[in-house]
Amino acid sequence: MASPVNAIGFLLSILSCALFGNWLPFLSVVLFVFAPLPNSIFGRYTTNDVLEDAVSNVADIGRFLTSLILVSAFALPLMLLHVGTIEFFAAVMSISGGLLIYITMMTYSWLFTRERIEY
Amino acid sequence: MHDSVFVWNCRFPWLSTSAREQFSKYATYFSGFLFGVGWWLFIDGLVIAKNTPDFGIKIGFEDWVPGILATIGMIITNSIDMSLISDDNSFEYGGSRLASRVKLLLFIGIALIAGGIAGSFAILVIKYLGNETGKNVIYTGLTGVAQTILISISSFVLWLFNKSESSTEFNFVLQ
Repeated sequence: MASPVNAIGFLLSILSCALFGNWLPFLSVVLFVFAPLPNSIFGRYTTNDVLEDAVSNVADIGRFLTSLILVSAFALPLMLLHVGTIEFFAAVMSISGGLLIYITMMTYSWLFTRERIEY
Repeated sequence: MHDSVFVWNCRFPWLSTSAREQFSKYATYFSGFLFGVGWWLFIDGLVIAKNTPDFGIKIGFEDWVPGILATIGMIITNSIDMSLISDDNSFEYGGSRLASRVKLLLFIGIALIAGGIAGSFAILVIKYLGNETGKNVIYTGLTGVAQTILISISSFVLWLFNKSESSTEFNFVLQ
């Protein structure tokens, strides 16, 4: 069920660029794809140091960067819309397509991590 | 123990530990959201200024300085471990005076953030409010102020809700 949603997301984001002949909104989709990366890298930080706390601030850096990249993915099409480089529908399609891709990725990672914990 | 430092502990006794953990997590997300919105507003103002034909004011490096100062101040302020500030062994012979150094660093960070806000207001008043030659001038001036204010709120959120030595309370330390 999730892969048609992913395909619709990619279709929307490619259409938002191809219909208007302006490929700048695709940067937003790239940002949406890279958004979970800091969280997944910094979230796996473990240390062998016994003296250090189990809960570290390293995970917080990952959360901060993830939120920053997500905001950038929303803000880039809105900025292009405000300047007048792209149309309104291109911005809407780019954001909704990227959001669908992001939701699919988060759902998949959530399912796989839950399975790994439960075995 | 807290003689020279005013420590305000805001306890939330109705929150369980796991709920407090979740709250701290979402506060970090919210801080990143505010930081991103601030910088993107500033970039939007710059792009608008570049794309307005009758924009009478030249954008220079001085428009970037308050945001960069506020960001450096945010990094300095939030890199400080808050448990060090009450580590008051400086009266012992051979003490490391760590607490006073940490307080100096905290002062420098807060001064950088406040200087960023003051600088953005100064640039708004001197550069933008004086000569409104074209449209969108006020908008570009206001985005710089909004940027530094949002960065300072983001820093405040990150600082207030970070995990300190005791995870049962949120500490707000003022000098």
